[in-house]
Amino acid sequence: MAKLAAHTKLNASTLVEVIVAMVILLTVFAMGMFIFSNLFKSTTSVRQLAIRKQLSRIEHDYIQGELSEDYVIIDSVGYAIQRDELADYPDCIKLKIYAEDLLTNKINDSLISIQLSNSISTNTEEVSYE
Amino acid sequence: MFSFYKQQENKLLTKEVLRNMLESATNWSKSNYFSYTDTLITDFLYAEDSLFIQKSAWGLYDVVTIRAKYKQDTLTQAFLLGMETLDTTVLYVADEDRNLSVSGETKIVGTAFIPKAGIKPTYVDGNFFKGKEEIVEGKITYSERNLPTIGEERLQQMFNIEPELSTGYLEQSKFSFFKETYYHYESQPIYLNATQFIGNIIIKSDSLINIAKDCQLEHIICIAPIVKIEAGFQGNIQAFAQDSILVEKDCRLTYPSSLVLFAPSEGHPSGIRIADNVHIAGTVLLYEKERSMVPHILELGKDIKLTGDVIAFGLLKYKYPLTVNGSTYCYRFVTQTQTTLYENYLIDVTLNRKALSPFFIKTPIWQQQDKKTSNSIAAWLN
Repeated sequence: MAKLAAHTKLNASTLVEVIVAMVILLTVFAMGMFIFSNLFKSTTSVRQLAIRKQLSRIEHDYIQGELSEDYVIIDSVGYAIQRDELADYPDCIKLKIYAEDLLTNKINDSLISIQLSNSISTNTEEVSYE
Repeated sequence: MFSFYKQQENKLLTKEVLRNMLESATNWSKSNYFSYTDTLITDFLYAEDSLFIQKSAWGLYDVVTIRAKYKQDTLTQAFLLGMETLDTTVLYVADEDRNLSVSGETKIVGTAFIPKAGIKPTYVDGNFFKGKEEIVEGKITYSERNLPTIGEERLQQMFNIEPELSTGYLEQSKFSFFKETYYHYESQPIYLNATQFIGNIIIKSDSLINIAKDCQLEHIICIAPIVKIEAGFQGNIQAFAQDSILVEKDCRLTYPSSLVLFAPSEGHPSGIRIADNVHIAGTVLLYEKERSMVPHILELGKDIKLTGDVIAFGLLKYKYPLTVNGSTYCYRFVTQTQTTLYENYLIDVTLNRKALSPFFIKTPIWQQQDKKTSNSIAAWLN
């Protein structure tokens, strides 16, 4: 049987060093996973993008006079249109359009703008959202 | 890579919010109830946004600057505001108990306000009126003894500007509307030669401002008793004078230019003289507070083309042919052939309201009794 010489050195880590290194690596991986999952959650979903686009479209149609109703439902999202007069500016209105998710009953997004009253057309050739 | 995508997405969203804010602020500034003031609002449309709107008079128009801030980003916008042209008035001749006569190839398209004595075709130098039988292609209404009222405060404001005397030479050429207005004031005559001035600058002299052909001027204001524009000049200015304005031949004053003479009530007659072959797009205004015994004269040369408003609180003397695409207001027309002086004769004059573009924005100079007019953007300034 071969015997190790008394003065031979082996390059290796101790058990404690390995455990500490593992803990550090696991912590770094955990932080990375956490950041990664947060990024996924905070990304705008396709649905949100569609809602945002729909809000712009509804605003445009309302100004063109192609929308007479104050509430429209499209793809399980209810769009409520609110028109507020501005007290000191009788020729202006504040147009608020809210998108409400009908599944969760929460306000998903909103679009607020100021329009001139005389720029809102009254010729209602209604547009269909189906 | 993911965070980069997220960053770009946030930028696009912020830009969209800022654009919405700018558009809303622009609509708001167009309101007839929006006063000349600096307005700072936070939480204008969304939380953490802020908006700063400055509206003030800039010559015959209004200038509006908007700064919209959302989170760390800012967008800015500046423009000249004027009045949308909703009326169809092509001609307004005050009623001095004289009829209006037309001859030659005169054409009047639009609503005409004429004296109660009426309008009739006639012979001048052997030429009869060659136009349509109804003479005016549009509605005919009777005019009053005086021209419609002008908002005088805007003109007074221009002549009440009293800046400090300038000592240095003007080195800068571009002046932003987002900064303070730059004033250059001299008591001596000012000769602008081969200079470029664009934007937020007012040049004032106590005697004369002479603008040479090789100047590049855009959106600036000149104020002096006498303003002279040399032959061949091309540019866009607003000139305010109290004694005379002289525009030499072949000049092209682009939209939206203004030539305004605010004549003193009595004293020596003042006038605007525009030489041959000049094209002006904007407003030519000869105004006096009260009718003087010796009327002031707005003199137009041959082959002149005016697009916009021509307003003479006095005599409008012209050489034919003359073309005005827009509206003409005067107390009396005067023209001279080789042998005869004609008053209230329209000879080879084309007054065409329909030829004026529907996108042509006029100055809000007329005194509005109600606040139902629509304002619109005459020119972008940034």
